[in-house]
Amino acid sequence: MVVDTVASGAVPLVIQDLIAGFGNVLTPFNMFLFAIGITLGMMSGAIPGLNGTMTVVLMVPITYAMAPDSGIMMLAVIYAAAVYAGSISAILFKVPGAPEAIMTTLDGYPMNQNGQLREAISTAVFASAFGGIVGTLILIFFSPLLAEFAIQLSDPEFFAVILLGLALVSTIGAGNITKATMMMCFGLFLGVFGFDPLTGVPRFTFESNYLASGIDFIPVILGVFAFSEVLKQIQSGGSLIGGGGEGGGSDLSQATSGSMFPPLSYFKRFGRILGVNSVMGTIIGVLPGAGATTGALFGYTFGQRLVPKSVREKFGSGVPEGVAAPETANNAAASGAFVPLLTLGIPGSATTAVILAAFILHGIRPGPSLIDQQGPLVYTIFAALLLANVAILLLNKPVVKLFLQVRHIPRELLLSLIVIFTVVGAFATRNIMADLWTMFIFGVAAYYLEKYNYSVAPMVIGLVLGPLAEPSLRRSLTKAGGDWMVFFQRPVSAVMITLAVLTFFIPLIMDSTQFGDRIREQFGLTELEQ
Amino acid sequence: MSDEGSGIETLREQAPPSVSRDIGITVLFLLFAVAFLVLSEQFAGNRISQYDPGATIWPRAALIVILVAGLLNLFLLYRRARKRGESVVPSLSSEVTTLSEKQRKYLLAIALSVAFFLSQDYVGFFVSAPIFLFAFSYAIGYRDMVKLTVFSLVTGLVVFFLFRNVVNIALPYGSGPFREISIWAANLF
Repeated sequence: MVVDTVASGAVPLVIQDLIAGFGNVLTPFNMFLFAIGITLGMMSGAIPGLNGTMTVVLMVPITYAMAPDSGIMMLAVIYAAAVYAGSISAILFKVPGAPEAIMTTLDGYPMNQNGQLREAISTAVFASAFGGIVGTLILIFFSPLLAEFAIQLSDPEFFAVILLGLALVSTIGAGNITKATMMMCFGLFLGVFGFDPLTGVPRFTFESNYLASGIDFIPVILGVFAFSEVLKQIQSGGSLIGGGGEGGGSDLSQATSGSMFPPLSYFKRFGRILGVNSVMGTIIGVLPGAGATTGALFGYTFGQRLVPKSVREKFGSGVPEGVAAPETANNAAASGAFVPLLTLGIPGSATTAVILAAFILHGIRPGPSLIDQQGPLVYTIFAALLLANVAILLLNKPVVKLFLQVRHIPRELLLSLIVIFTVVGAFATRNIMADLWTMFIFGVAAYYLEKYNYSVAPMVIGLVLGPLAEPSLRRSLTKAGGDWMVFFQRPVSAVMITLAVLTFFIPLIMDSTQFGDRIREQFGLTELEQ
Repeated sequence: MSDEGSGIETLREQAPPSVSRDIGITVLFLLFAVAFLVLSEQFAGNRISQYDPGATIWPRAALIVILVAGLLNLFLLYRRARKRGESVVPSLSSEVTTLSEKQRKYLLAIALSVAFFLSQDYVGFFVSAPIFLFAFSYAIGYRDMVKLTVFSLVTGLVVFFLFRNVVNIALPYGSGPFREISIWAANLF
């Protein structure tokens, strides 16, 4: 029936190509590679120290012996699966398995601690699959349009988008905006160590080779999220998995016996988040250099803006919206990152940069004519990305069941295992011993900072976004002859910067003035802060 | 095992979060910002063109916002402390109290982690990881010696071979005889 309709030409060309792509993915050899890709992606996403980019790098030489559509399809599947799987260890142990899962730790782990492990994981999986599927559909149907949009964006717009993201960070520290701002700027400052991106002048390196190479954010996130949590657990005597230790919550068997979908009532709560973040995540993924990690950072802050104030105040304490928001956006951004790669030949993220290398290895140069010249290859990738997101949904239960076996491991052994993985994770990225010390120092510091409500998430966001923002700012000004009005002469950047200023200053004024006190008292927020 | 009591009388027990310590953290941030603002002077003037705002604009912007937010935070802390009738001056009490069991475990965990990191250059991951796993788990309260020994050896080996032989990430080999042992182990597979 479908074949007849296709043959008669009644189905648009895109659908015909997509069906052909599915046909190609579903051949036995490609299905075998697809299964390998999903397995490797999930492994690399879930184990700290490995990540999707690293696994794709390792697999590129292996694809040389394969047909381009088979090899590149497998790399794309690894990437999609890795972005999802990072959330598993983030929720279970507060260890982001991959950088894309940083924001998922903020509410996923507290949900686990509150005895809502099943809800947290099913929300993460569903949101990941939803974001990934919507992102891929946007990729399939709107690639040329998005590519045109991406070409028109220049440094002022890029800087304005990042500035808006930084301003939104202030909402993470609701009730402690001054502290959140300090931490965010501290993160921005940490990003300047090393060589200046434009002039190459060493900044604050103190003649140290380590500082010259800059402070990598992976040891920092492993320290502030994972190592500090180990210290906290030792001090508090608590349990990593809610329900598994003192004062635990719900029965853990729920986590594997329930549906693969989140509770129905949740859909009402985060329906808007799924819709908005899957589109916004894709758009962020389209921005060259942004990628899924940036998508997650923005997704979390967008999510806060999309929920009622009563829920926004609870972000960070374990709300499903706080899991759905970054997971939708990071998977959508992972798909979006393919847009500039396939249509312009510009990688949208580190992983797509490696996939670009795989294209070149196979003698294919991505660009505006790629879809016309290599249609079967491109649509095989699209079909594989769609199938990968469906597979994530279907494989959720067995994968989570496997991971939950760790609850049988005694708490002390689990904590020591986490320290080992944080050490390996911190070392593996650059093979530098000093990264271990960075992880350790930030871990201990985060333990104390969080005790006094200095949230570490804004610092991590600052560290990630700072190195993206500075070159854009300076290139914008250089090209505009030093005229700061360049940011207001272009409509997109003018709107973004205005929004950023309002987003930042309104909560700050509310937080620090007597007028704000009166408003907070009127809405009963004072008790919440205390 | 009780979590209270059997401690050592060397360090002050940690006080619950207080405004004075909060202020102390903010002051540290302020000092950090001032120090680096001064240091940023050394590369002022480095720019790629006359229109480039230079290598100092971004770090200085971040540091100035830290200063402003920090001062505002001090003001807010002072105001909230006054509202609640708390003292903003740190207590200088020299009272020495007993470390609880949990605090002792915490300090041991820190000390063992530092020793583990330091050992990487000399002993290497292959040899030090099982020792660390054993010592760390024991220090924080695990007492089944047989399981602990098996866990430490198997985990250390699996992690080493997974990263070294499967994903080709060379974990630290150490030096001298330890290096020889690590290379020998890596070549086993």
